[in-house]
Amino acid sequence: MRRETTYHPENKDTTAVLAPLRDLPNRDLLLWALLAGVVGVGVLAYVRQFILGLGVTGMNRPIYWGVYITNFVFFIGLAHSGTFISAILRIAGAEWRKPLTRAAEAITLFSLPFGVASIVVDMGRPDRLLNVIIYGRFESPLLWDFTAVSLYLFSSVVFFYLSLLPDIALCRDRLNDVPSWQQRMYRILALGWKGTPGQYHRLEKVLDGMAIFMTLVVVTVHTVVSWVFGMTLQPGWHTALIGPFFLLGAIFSGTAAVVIVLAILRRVYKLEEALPLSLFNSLRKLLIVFSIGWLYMMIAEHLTIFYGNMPEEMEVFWQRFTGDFASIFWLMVIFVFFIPLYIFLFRAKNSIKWMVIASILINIGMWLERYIVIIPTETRPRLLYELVQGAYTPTLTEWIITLSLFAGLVLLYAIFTRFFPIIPLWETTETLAPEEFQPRRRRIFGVRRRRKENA
Amino acid sequence: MPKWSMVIDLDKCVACQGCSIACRFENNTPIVPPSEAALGRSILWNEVFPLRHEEEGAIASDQAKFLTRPCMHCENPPCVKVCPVEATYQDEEGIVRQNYARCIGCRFCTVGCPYGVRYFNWYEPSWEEGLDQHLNPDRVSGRGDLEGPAVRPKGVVEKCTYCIHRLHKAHDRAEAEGRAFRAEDYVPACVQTCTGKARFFGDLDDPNSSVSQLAQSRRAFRLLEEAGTHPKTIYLHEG
Amino acid sequence: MSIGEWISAFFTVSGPGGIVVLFVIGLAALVYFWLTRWIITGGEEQKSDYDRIR
Repeated sequence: MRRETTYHPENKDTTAVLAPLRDLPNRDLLLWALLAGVVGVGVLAYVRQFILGLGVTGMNRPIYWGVYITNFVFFIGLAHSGTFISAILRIAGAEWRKPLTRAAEAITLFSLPFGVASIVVDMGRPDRLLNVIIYGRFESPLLWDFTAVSLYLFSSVVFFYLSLLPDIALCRDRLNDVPSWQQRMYRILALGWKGTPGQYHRLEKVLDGMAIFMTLVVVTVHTVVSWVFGMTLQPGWHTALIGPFFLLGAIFSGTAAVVIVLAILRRVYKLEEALPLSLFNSLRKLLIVFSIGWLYMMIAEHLTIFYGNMPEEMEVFWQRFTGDFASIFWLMVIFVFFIPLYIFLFRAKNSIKWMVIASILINIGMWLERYIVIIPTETRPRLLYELVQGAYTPTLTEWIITLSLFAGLVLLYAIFTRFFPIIPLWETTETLAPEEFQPRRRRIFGVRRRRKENA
Repeated sequence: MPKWSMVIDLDKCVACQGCSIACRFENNTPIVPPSEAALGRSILWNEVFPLRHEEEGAIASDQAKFLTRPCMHCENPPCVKVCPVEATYQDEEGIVRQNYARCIGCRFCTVGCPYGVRYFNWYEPSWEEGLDQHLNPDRVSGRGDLEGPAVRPKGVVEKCTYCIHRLHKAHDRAEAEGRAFRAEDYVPACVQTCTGKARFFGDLDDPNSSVSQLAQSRRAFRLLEEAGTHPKTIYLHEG
Repeated sequence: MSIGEWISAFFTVSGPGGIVVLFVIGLAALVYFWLTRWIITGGEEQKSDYDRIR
């Protein structure tokens, strides 16, 4: 029997949170197989596209960017949820965020790769991806994109891993009944974590510092993503508002995604104690603010366009409001604003079910919103609206690949929750208060017993 | 250094599309099947558009109006600005060029161009049987590995090059004949073919060239002048 | 070359963009590696107690 030589703070929910890791029921394996199947079909669809060319999509002249770029923006936007909750709320000192941080960060961690994958899927010559490094031109917003998203991905992995570290050590020490390869994995990943006060102290400091850095990165990343559109001369894209618009949309859709994920985790892993109803109420208030903020941006943007009445801008405006994209546009407005706001104000208090419904609608609506930002402008480009008018119908290939990206996200997330605790146990313990951790010498075994008596 | 420019006199243009046809044979533009053309994937470096009639109430002209449009070869090209790998670049003589060997197919330039002159190879280029035996063997020498009429792979962007391979051929011919290069030796295919003699080509910096004199004409205008792109393809409007 | 030309060349010529990407990622990698090491070695002064227990 291995003597436990590492300090783990006491947490009343430890058993409940570690329970999912001790078990791997067959229905989970079935779910994973199903999701992997969907991903596999997506891979096949992509291989076919790689061999034949991007002609298998519905893109054409002038709609050169379609569903794939929509996915890119959407997934990068989803990723902002985690950073918002763990980094921005950390800086704001919102203590209620603590149980959510890892679940939210995991969304970041697992959606970013699919955002990047969406771009590679969209490239005409993905085999030449390295050209961006070898021949990179920093005048191009795509280079800013590449830098920012790479930095964000890398930093998210590190931030996530560091926050996970004490809990990996906990798994290493407590999970004696899991397969030996899994125990070895914990041992390696734990990096010899001992739980000393000095280590906790330094960890907290680094996480505080990284939280500030990640906040800056988040603001940069989605602004830079929006500037891929904003820096062109196309009507509907070339607006100064596009940076804040995308940023707010990202945090909005991301927070809604967090609600959905939390509700699922709570139900599937029986984490009612660790994820109380008050969390959902706090998120509800945030989502109300974001929803109204989104409406503000929409009004600011469209009223300005309408009032100015510039012909090329109005072509895109009418495309959205009454033209080919009217049904999608109004559906989006209803899904993102009207129904969720009604639910949040009148139904969702103390009701997780209503929160989830609103959040699902918000995410569908926000995907449509990305579509509405990107495609109508392309159908009425600046000069060509006089000459050629475009139309776009995504093909089955594009839908299959889109679906497989979402399936991949869910798959990675589901696998993760069976190997690592989804609630940060070391952060949510009542006994772990920063003031109690002074770097003073003390015997590690003695500390734990003394604490139990004091509690 | 010469600054190459094209002037198109819309009064003389009869919209025969000879320019478009000559261009695609000169530059080995891939053919697309009718289903693809219906989708909007035809590759026409020089495209002839019917213009919409905008007048209501006023006596609308019975004459259909057309616009023939090659690349503008802007002096401030928005496409070059956004290319992440310098697959499209502007050379010293003012021609905006495309390097098929380096293009990663991101299509940023295609959405960045406000004139829509850029096209993408959605599939592997193909030609009808027989045509593939008669591709133009001319090649472009220079910074790019694959430019102009070179047979390009799928997944890359292409566009009008002012037939730059003809420029290089003219230089070679002048050198072979032991004389200086003359600007009149360099004529793009569309200019050479034009039925109505509506197209002119030359050095905008040479005050004696036809283009620089026509550019001063009362009828001269450029597309989207307010966009700040400074296009070098200049039109003379009807009148 | 004047400073304006230098800056313009940095942005427009191909190559420097890739260097920026590699530099940013490389710097991040160094910093994160160092930070992780700093965290893990956080309790080393206290190790003497533990060693004596063994």
